[in-house]
Amino acid sequence: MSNIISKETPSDGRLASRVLHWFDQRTGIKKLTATALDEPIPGGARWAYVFGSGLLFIFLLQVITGVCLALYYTPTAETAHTSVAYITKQVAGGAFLRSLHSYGSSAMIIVLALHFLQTFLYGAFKGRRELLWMSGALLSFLVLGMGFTGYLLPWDQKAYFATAVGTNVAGQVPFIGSFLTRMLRGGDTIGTLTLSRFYVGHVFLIPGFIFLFVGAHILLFRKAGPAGPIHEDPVAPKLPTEPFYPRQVFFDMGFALLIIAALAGLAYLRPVTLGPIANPADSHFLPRPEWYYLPMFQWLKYWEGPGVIIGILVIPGLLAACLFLMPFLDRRLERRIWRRPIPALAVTIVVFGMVYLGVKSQLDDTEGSAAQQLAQQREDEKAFSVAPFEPYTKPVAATSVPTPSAKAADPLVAKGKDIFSDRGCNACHGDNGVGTPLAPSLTGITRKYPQDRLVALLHSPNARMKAGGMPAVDATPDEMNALLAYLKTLGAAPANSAASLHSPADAPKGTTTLPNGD
Amino acid sequence: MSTSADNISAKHLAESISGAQSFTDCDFSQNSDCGACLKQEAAQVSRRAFFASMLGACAGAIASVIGLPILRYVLYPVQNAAKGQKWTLIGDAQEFENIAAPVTKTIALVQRDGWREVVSEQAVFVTRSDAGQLRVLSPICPHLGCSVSWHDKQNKFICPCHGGQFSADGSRISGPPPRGLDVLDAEVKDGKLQVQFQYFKPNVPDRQLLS
Repeated sequence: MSNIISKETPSDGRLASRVLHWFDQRTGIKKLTATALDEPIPGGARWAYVFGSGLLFIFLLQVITGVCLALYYTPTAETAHTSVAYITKQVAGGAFLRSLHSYGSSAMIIVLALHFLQTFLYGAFKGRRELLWMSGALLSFLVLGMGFTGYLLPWDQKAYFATAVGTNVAGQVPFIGSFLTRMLRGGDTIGTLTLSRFYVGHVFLIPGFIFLFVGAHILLFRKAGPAGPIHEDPVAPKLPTEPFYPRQVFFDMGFALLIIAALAGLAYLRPVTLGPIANPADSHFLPRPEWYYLPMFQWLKYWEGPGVIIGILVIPGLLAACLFLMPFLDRRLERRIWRRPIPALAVTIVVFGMVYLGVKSQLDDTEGSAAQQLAQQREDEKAFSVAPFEPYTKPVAATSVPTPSAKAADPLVAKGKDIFSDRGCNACHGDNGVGTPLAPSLTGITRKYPQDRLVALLHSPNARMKAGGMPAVDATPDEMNALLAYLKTLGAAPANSAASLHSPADAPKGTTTLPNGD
Repeated sequence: MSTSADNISAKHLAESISGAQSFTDCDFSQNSDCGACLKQEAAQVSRRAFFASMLGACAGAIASVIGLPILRYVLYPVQNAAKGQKWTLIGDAQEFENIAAPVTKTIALVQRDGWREVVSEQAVFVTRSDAGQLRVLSPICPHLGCSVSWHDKQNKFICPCHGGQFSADGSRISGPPPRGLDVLDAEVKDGKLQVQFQYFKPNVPDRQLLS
């Protein structure tokens, strides 16, 4: 029972442990798990540290529910709304998963705010943690981008009009504003190309960057190590440490349980609604963004005229820059918030300002005609949500290929056409010989094969034709002539049907797959 | 502060899950009281197993809260494939009162395809059974699925692909088809003949519904 033996072969012979051992020898998974879970936390585990892993949990939840939604969703202006209605009203569990995804985005913002406040108040970004903080700030912007792009995808009234406003804001940027708006929209107006762009951003691009920066964020976090409590030295921690597992894992797990309970409860009791399909002609609709964009929405009301650039670009840009560069602005190693009055005051002003703007925006909407219109919109949305599902139907269009009358005018061709349908050639080769999954198209067949070769093949099909179910055509020479005359007209424009003006090179490649004889 | 609970560190997690235990915690060279050491080890193992199973239970709870709806969500089209069969109008029943031979009718078949509705044209034969009842036949040959056609001169249905032949009421006469033409569910309601168009498995002796 030496250490060497116990390391080389598991001490008991259970299959599970032997499989794990085999796996570990090839991957080093045990060491990896140990490294992940043994992370030393100066001063020990705390509830205050749960927000980061809470965000990771919500992100994974969004990925899982998002993949589910993509299973039935289609990103076109014509069908997006119907497919979301199908998810919400028809598919089992669809309303629940969509609500989970929708409420999950709000939870992301809330927990993001808590994570930011905890890190800021604890001064946990200090001491060689600039890149860690900046990757986090980038992640915050990406999360806001997810909210903005995801809002359009259901293609209902509020989605459409909120995006109209959102993309117009970009148009206020000097010099490149109109280009930016057209870039975002994929054109001058919001349409199916806008939806494609937002879909690609929401499903591929932004999540890709989030994965990238989450990886960087965690890597940088492990390099710097947890900062610990507020009195701790952020560069060289002195407090005794406690490993991440088990206590911090339990706290994190407890927070995850709280999140999922709240989200699932909300999704079950108050499933999110879906409004009527976007109607760009509706001039009465009052757009309102998601709640976390309300402060910005309200803020923009106060700026007009030439000063608008200050309101929509300079001030938000400065705030974003301050957030991004926080570790360089608040750069002393002093962590205690009461010894950092300027950053504390600045963040307090911004946070309270945003709360004020958000509340003010809500209060403004409780009065006057806007309140009436918004109430009407909520009613419309509720009404549409409970109305039975209406499947998407294609707009009526001529689908059948018209029979050119010039072809029928030739009695020989007409006879050949009758033979073609009487013998059931059309059953496999399709009406007018256009081809079906069962058998190839016959367009241009008479130009591909000399007449005698074609007649021979029709009388006795080769092995490959037989394998495809092609029967021998038992026909008199007259009937065969008529059939060939008809085949000659296939695919040709009516005016050209009498005399074949096409050279063989014009025949569409690949449309005739009658095999060469062997 | 490092407590004894803290000693139950992460490197044990994988071991407690798998059940494999190493004795690396007991340093035999320094601790001669091997019995006490093993006892302490045993106590730690049971605590470790408890922590791991608690975590496992929590993870299981979260997985089931979202996993069960996801399972129902993903399986929805699989389980509801047969639903949504509707009656399709063929025409006035009067029209067929005096038919001597099978009549080809084209119906507008409305089919649900997920969130969309597809209207396609489909031919059916209206004929009479031996007992004189109206009967609607599928034109799809029960051999390999070609479209059969009615031949007035020969007074029978003939499949163009492999020469299967059927009588006017749809029963098999000769050829490779293993059964007669498939009879579709039909009814006369308010003087209108309606049909439920369905597909049946080809090349088997009995009529088996597809989807």
